[in-house]
Amino acid sequence: MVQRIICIIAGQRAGTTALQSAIEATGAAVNYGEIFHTDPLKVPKPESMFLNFARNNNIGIADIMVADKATAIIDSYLNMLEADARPKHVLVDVKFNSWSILSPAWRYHSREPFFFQCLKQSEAVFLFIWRENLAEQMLSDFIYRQVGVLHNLDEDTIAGRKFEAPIQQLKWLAIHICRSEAYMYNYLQSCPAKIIIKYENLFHEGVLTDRFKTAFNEFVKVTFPDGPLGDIRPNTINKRDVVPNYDEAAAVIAEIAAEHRWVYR
Amino acid sequence: MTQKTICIIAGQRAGTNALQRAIEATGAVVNFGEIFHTHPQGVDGPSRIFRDFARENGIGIADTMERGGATAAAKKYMTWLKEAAQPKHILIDVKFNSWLALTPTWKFPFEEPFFMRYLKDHEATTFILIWRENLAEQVLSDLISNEIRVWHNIGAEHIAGNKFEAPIQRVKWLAKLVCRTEMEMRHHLLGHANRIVIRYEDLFQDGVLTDHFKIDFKKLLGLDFPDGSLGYIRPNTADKREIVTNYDEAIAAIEEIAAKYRSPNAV
Repeated sequence: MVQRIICIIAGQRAGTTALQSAIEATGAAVNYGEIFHTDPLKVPKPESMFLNFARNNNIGIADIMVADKATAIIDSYLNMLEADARPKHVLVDVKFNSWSILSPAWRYHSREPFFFQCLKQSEAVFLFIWRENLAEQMLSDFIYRQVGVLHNLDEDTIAGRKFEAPIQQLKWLAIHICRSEAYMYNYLQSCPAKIIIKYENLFHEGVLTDRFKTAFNEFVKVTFPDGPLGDIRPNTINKRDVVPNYDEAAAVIAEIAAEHRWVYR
Repeated sequence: MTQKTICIIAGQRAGTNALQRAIEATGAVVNFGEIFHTHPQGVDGPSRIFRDFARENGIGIADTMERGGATAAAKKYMTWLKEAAQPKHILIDVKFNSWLALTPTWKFPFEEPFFMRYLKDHEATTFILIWRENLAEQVLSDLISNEIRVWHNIGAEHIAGNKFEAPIQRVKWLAKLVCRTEMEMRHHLLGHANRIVIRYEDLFQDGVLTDHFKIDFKKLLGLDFPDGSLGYIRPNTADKREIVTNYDEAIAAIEEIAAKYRSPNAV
């Protein structure tokens, strides 16, 4: 088996944790989760997160500023993940708002992210997920930040609490998610190994769709086990019950999505 | 005198070196130049670039991944500059393609750069954004400088019969990046009271700063410029047509990009 790096690209609350679990459940990949996360409690293998790699290897910010050195550091990090996972594939997840972290000097912000460029050179397989219902995605993120519970949200977790959505903040965030989607989508066009899929086409009733499984098998031959996605279940709360101004927030987000989605200016 | 920070924002080849010299000549400012440069030239005195500071202070990438750590690093660096400049103001120059050098995690690609936000929130910063209407001259000037490895006071002696063809696709790519960044930076400066947004063409006339700029600068910083030229920086005298064999084709390509990506409604 040729070892590959599989990179999930998405915004927060786009089903990436469930997808990570599903791919890991094939037994063919080791899941490192959000490698650029700064909280070790939020990643499956904290010892392999970039933060710890950088600490253990005394990587200075001055080293990253020079492109050649930055490339060498990234290669070294990816080699570490590959060695750890061998013979399995390496599964990583990089959120839209984590791509700028390893940028050398002399890099326009609208250029292809430097780390993305390195992954392309490593012939990584990219899984790009976007959620058509942007309002549900964003309000899900908002509720999570209020209650501090990431998955399997239910009425017990909410315990009757209500949270007013901050409309201006949501508008700002919606614009950035839409622009990031368009930006990453644009740079993915030159990648041969990619799956671009809507969240709504990724799962059906809590299991991965055949559509995704077939597309995935074109690049990485695996057998997905039948059944639900491990411990991750769709949240069962009704967001309207939790967010009193749900309709206002959803309308504002829909307006932003209509104006900014897939428009890479 | 309360120490202030003056931050020049521009693309390469937009007259920033000449402007640095002119501001330095007020005598009220210490010029630290392009602080995120990796190999700076033309700055007098000991290096105060961020890279050397980060090395000397052992600042790791892991330290700046969290917003709090990045803020602490920015604060320590700016304090270091201010101490070196005391009691004068400090002048820094951050090129369009250098803003990502200090970026924590959790930052969308088109968000306001972290360091700009820091300067706005924690330092009394006046921003001077320069853009060059003649983008073609700017981009070709950059291309020529990179080709002959000379950045200022370029005369016929530097060219010495050199001719080369401008790579059109690369030139278009670069022009697009400059335009996009200009738009973003203008947007980020909206609402910031202490800013001057000026065209290169309105900044200098016949090798000296224009009254237009001097008046705006005095209004914000209360500083007067001495009369005279801009020190050792002179407008380049080399004729780009003599150097770039496909000059007209390159100009047309860049103008097309500028028409598409520069919007008059940006400010």
